Order: sequence, then C-alpha cells, then structure tokens
Amino acid sequence: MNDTVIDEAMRIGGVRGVAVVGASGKVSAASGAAGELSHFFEMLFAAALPHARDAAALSLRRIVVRTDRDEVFSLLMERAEALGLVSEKWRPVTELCADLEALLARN
Amino acid sequence: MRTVLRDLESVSGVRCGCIVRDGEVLASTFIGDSAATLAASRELVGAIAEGLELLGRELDEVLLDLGEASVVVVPVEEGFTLTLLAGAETNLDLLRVVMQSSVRQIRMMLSRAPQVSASSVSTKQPDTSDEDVERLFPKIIELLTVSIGPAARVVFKHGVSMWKASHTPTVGNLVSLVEILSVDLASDEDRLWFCQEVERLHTG
Repeated sequence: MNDTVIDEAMRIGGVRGVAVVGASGKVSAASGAAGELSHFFEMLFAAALPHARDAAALSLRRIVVRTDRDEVFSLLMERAEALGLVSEKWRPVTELCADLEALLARN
Repeated sequence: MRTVLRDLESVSGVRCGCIVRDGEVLASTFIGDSAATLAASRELVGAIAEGLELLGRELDEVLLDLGEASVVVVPVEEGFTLTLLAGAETNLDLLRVVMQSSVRQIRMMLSRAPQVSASSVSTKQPDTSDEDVERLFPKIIELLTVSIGPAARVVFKHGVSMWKASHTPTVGNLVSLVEILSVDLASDEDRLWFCQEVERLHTG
C-alpha cells in the first residue's frame, strides 16, 4: 500500500483518517485523525493478526469498532498488512468498506 | 435472556447468539465450530475494549467480518455483552438497530427487575384477555413505524416478548408495553406522542 492509497482514501466521504500498518506491525504511513491513533491501530493489528484470513477459527477480514464518540475505527486486513481507518458514524460502514476495497483493488 | 436471543435469531440471517455476564454464559446457542468462533471473538473483543480504554473511549459495538459471516458484539454494561453470529446475507444495519434495541430493553429489565414482579401481580386484570390486546397490535406497529421506520416490526416483536415475560398481556398492562417500546424512540416528544396515540387506541 502506498501514498496514493492514503490520498484516495482520504477523499472518500466520511473518512477522517487513514493509517497503513505494515508487516512489521508498525504504522508506516498515516494521515488525518489516524495520525494520533497509530498505537491503537498497531494494537488492533497485533490482536487481529492471529485471527486473519485462513489463519485461524475466525478467518478475519475486517474489524469495525464503534465507540461512544462520533467515530468508527476500521481495520481492513490485506495479506500481511492492514489499512486502518477513522470515519464518521453517519457513513454506513458497508458502503465505506466497499469503496475502500474497490480502491485497494485498483492499487 | 433466552427470549431475547430467540427473538434476535428470528432476524433474517442470524445463526446463533450468546449473552455473557462477568464471564458467565447466561444464554447461548453457539455450538460446534461456532463455539470456537465465539471464544476467539471474545478474546479479540476484550483486547479491543482494553485498547479503547487507553484512549479514553468506551466500546459501543464491534463487528468482525469473517467473509461468509460476521460476529457482532454489543456491550450491555461492563463485563456484560450480547454477541451474534450472522450470515453474509444479513442486513447488518437492521441488525445493529435491533441489537441496540435489545440492549436497551435488557438494561431496562435489569434496572426494573424488582418492580416488574410487583407490578405484574398488582395489575392483573381478569376481565381482559390476550385477544383484546392483540387486536391492538397492528395499530401499535403502525404508530411505531411512523417513529422508527421499517425496523418497527422487529422492535415491536422483541418488545412484546419482553412484555409477556414480565407482565400478564392484557389491555390493563398495555402501559408497560408502551414503556418498553418507547425506549427506542428518538425524543421525549416522540415518546409522548406514541403514549398518547396508544392510549387513544384502547380508550376509543
């Protein structure tokens, strides 16, 4: 995943921040609100990795976390990497993730 | 709690569910492979909740997308969660609305548990029957639909289950059903309107 992915993702409606978590488990690039949430996305990635696609009982593809604030944190697992997102609650996550998956497929 | 799960499982696509409080399983329909999924989900959701706590946030809901199915976890209160496993065909937006409704209803049941048993004894009215009250149900669903839209039918069904579990289903106890359903209305104005309209239905 590269800077183009981050730039394009930031232009999707409702997206406030984007972070790329590399295979090392560290955030390699971040933009917007995701910048201050790097540690959270790294923790989420570490917790999710043992359950990632075809690796375990869950075969996890995506985590969506709603909090008590107007924000949704999502983590899309992409092979050994992941894309972390901060978005607004008004945007249906199913739509948002469809947009992101299309974006990832293009890149 | 079993009634809550049974009603949630009537939502199209929902496969099984579980209610856990302080590590104790209060009700569960997870079996076989789905039990392993539940265990892994609980571990993951625990880690997520801890991470959010460090950020000063509280968990509202977690969705784990597994491709062919999703696990949705909603906290009722600290250490008390409602978990569902739903197939890919499930309307997750509708499921979220229904789960939040169930959570509010469980909270209300918990907070009112001692009073519920007292009121169910004192308000029994032998001169009315289920048939009398059930004749009003379609109209109540219509009123609820005005306020909350298409989710009204499912919310109503859950509300009636809760009501029947704690009260004798009679016209005299209709006020308790209205209280349960009102939890899902957006504003005090909506609640007042709904109460007045239901009262008008049975008083003519």
